[in-house]
Amino acid sequence: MIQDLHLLEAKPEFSSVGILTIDALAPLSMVVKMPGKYYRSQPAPSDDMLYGMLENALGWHFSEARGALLKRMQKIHGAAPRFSGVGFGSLLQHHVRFTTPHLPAVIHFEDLWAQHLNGPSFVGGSRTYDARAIPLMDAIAGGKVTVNDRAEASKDPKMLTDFQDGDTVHLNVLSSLFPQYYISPTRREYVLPLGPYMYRVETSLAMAQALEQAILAPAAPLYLGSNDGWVDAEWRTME
Amino acid sequence: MIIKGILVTLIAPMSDHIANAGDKILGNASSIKQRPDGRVYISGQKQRHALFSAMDRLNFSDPKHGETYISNGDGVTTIVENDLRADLGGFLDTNKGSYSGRRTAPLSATPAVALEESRVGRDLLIRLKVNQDKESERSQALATREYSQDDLMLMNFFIDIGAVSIRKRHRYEKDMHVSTEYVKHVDEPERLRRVQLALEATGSLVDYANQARNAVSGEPQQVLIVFDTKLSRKTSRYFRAKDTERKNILNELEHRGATYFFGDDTSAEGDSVSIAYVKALKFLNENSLFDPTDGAAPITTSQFEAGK
Repeated sequence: MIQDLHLLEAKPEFSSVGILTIDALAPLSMVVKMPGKYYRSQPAPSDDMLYGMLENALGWHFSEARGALLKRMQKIHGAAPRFSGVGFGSLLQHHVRFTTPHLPAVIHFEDLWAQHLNGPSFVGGSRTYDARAIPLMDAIAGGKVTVNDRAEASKDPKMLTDFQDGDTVHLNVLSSLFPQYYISPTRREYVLPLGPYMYRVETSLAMAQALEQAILAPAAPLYLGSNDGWVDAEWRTME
Repeated sequence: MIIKGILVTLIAPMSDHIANAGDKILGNASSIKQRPDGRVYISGQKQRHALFSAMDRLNFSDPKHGETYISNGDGVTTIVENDLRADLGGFLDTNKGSYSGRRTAPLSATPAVALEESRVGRDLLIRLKVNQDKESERSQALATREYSQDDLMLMNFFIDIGAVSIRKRHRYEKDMHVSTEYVKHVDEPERLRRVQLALEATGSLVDYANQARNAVSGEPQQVLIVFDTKLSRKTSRYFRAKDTERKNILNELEHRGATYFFGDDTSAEGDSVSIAYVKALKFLNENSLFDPTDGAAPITTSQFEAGK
């Protein structure tokens, strides 16, 4: 793990070139920003994902300190930091750039992903609930009883058994009988790369050496996209 | 040897299965999942579920389990010292704020994928109706379901040892200086016990959806267990590779001082799967786990969260 961040104070220069090769060991799901209903994967990692992977290798998982570091770098380099679609600001963004990518062909496929959500729509969103809720749930499914979170809905716990056709029951009556989160299967796209991703990376000599060391002995496992997007990376310093 | 990472790659035969289906145990599809290349797969999410489910059973029967438990997947706690799912599987609790409510999983899995193109069959199901209502007067419901006939499923699991029961906190001090504090939540014997449980669990995967009550098991027929000096997962390619690549993968492991155990139930030579696991567990007990805290005394989660 490389702790010496003074490397980032140096004036950015791009006199050195490294070749970064990334081999996918598993299908990748590279989603650039938090979507609503469909997690669409890019065919190739974004620059921010590549920065993230390199920072993982360096051990720069600086969650709490990152904001202060980015501010300090803005002062030194005079350029505002760029943030990704999910709010990740890379510490390497001023000093490392990816050029001439060599991208493999990919096969796309969609997986159903059970997303854990927390919200008021659990009644329609969960397939598992306490057996005591069955009579009321049957009535709701049959359109005999309505359930919502409006003020006029009845919050009386007795409504679980003593309901009548046309009643409106408050969500709170049911909430303790449902899982804490309900499962909502979401479509998530994966890609299967048919070869390695290769990038020509321009940076300073010192940074190239630091990256070479980090990829040789990464401080954290390397992945792209999601936790199960395992990758293997290689770095060659060219000049 | 100081173990930094453990990789388990294995082949498990499955027949007449829809391993990823079912309503009860985190399945989310009623048919077998298949990739465009014709090979069926089980999602990484399901693989993690099956692994934790196996760990839960092993932990429960371990007399040394003490206060530990494995929380339900829909209610992970942040208590790393007691909840093994919080420890090895990570969590995201937005209510805790900042990074005490977030943990990257030390244990990761890839989707399980068939080694060869699968042959998918169709099973005919008859749903018996016993209700007296009007709908039941109509004929019985018939449905077909897709299942896969015979597969050798390739599965991979990896444990980042330096993160097991350990949390990191980084503080910005001045200029470009960041201080890193490592916190350990349990003592070394308990860390070792957890790693041992996870390793044993990779050989005891059974919690898949059962197609028409056929038992579906992910127990290995062949396994390669790697105790590594580096956080590398390249060995997960082993069973997909041809002879030359296999030889090179093993050479690379030996070159950097990693130790591996291979088990194959189909071969008369070498070790069987169960012997490989016995040897691997013995090796694990005789060597030490990488500890970035350098033997610090354990603290509780509430102490950690209060100290931010």
